[in-house]
Amino acid sequence: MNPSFPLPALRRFMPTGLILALLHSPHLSAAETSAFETDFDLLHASDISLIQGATGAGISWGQTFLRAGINGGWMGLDYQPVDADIFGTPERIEESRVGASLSISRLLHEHWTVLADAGAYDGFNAYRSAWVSTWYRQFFNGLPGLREPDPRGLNGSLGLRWEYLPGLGVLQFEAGLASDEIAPGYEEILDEFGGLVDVAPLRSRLATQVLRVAFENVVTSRIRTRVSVRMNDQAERLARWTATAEINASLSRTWVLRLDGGYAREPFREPAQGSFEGHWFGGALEWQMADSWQLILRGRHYRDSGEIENTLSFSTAAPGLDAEELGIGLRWSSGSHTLQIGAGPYRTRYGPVTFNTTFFGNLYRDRTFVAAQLSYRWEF
Amino acid sequence: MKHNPFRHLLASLLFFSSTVPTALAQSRYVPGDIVQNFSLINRATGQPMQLTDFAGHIVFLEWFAHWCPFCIAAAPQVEEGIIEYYRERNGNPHGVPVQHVAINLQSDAAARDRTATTTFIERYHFDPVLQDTTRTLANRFASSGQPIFAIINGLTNSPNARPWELLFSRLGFGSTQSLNDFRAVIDQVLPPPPQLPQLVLNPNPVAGQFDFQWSTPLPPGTRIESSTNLLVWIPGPTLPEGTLQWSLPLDPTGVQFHRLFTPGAP
Repeated sequence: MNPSFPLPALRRFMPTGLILALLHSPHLSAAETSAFETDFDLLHASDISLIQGATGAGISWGQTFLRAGINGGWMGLDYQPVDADIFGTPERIEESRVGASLSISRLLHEHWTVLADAGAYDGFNAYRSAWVSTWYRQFFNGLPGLREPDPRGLNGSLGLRWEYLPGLGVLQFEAGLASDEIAPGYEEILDEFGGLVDVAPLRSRLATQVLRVAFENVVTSRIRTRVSVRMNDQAERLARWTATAEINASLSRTWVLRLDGGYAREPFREPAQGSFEGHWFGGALEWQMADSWQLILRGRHYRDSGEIENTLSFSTAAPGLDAEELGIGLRWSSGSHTLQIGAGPYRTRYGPVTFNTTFFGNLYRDRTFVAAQLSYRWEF
Repeated sequence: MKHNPFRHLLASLLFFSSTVPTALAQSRYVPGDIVQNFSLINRATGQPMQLTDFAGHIVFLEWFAHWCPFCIAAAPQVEEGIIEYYRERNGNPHGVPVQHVAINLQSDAAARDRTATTTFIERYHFDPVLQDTTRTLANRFASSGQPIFAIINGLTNSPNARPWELLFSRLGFGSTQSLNDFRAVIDQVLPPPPQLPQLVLNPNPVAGQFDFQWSTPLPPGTRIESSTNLLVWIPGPTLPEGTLQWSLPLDPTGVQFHRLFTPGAP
């Protein structure tokens, strides 16, 4: 569990850019303790509600640690076409998603641990996909080539962890594959005169390769750092590189400061189009105000340049995004039980939609969400 | 078979004689070309309409298809930025009226398309709407795709555009910059120069003078100039506004020509 920042679980429903901001590498040196944990997250704006939860349990068994979990989510969207979309109609969209994950790690040698995990899901991963899919369905309504989206996916990874300084330094390498069946876009099928006769789905299966290397070091008795570099290579796109850095500092017996930041870059296939670039930074301040109680204040800023933008063709790509989040949380710990709640505003501000993304002006409009989290962990 | 060079030549000639005119006839217009008159069916009335029906206007052609996202995105901007813009201003800055003509590219054979196209037209108040569902005319302006825009001069005596000259054409509507491009072209079209008043030369040898008469107001600064050879013109008096008659002394030494001259006039 990541007690200072429970939002990562929401990334499945969030815009792609924000996913990067919320990616947290696992605690490399976290004790693999048998535990049950569950968490719920909520994001709510005037036209979008996102809820999701995850429950899992991990068991240590000799040199092996096994963790299994299930997760699910629900989204409710008030789809609203832009004024220019004369064939669009307001519509209530409700979608749900279920998933499962399994991870296993085994100590091979005194300082070497092998890692493996696998996951699967069925349902929309992001509200953006559900929104865009609805636009296609309405726009090409009645054409035989239109098909019902059925997003789902599988993923798996293998890794190796090396504790090169026992208790002080860890290096971890992971390689993963993901296969996602996505709600496709469509291209028109035209007759000899250029008239529309049908549509054909564009690529609906995405294969992604992921490589990640991470270092975690205990620098002093009060400071721990973590640095990671990640490469995502997805079909039809160039690789996206993401670097993150975190530092956790114990300021005193009762105060802990956590800072993190990151940068991501993906060159577009057409060099003239430039590249996607994103960066973020955030922090959390934790105060042990009583034996069992901690108060947590956190904030985060995120900015990106927008997804691929080709001004010559129709596009669903997101414009640049600025996002800020503030939160306050309370953690209660007693023996083997930990309960945490948190809430705060989360604001998104998109750059203006361009002419070729004009139909998605209501998808990429500024919003202020209320974010709330609840999590519980029991170690046994 | 034995190779016969003459047969080959004859075949080539036949081939080119049959294909070249066709190719030329279907060549794509570029700005500066004179657009041939065309006839398309008015979707609302079922009656043919010709380009020449819009004589006296700057003709703004817009090809669209209801399923084309760019057409849908462009239409409201064209409606506001071209149709209403010039309607409110009674034409371009020089007073030349602008006529928007929408041209539908999608066949109405399927009920779905028929309904969608009608919705499109009604939403953006397109009128008139012509049918070009086999792209017969569109292909003269763009090889494929839509929306297509073309601006044609429908004035006969514009000093800076020939009758039915294609002033501008574009495939696609990239951004609001397109509107600026359209307007820049539309705004530059000048109307025919004002007709100078009909002069009545009334030589009066007895009085030894010419009497000039005119019946409409003259532009400020208009003067009478005289010449004996039509090459060198000697400025005469500037004509005061409101004057309906002016007299010049008759030169007894030779034939004189007179003209009205307005400095700065095209």
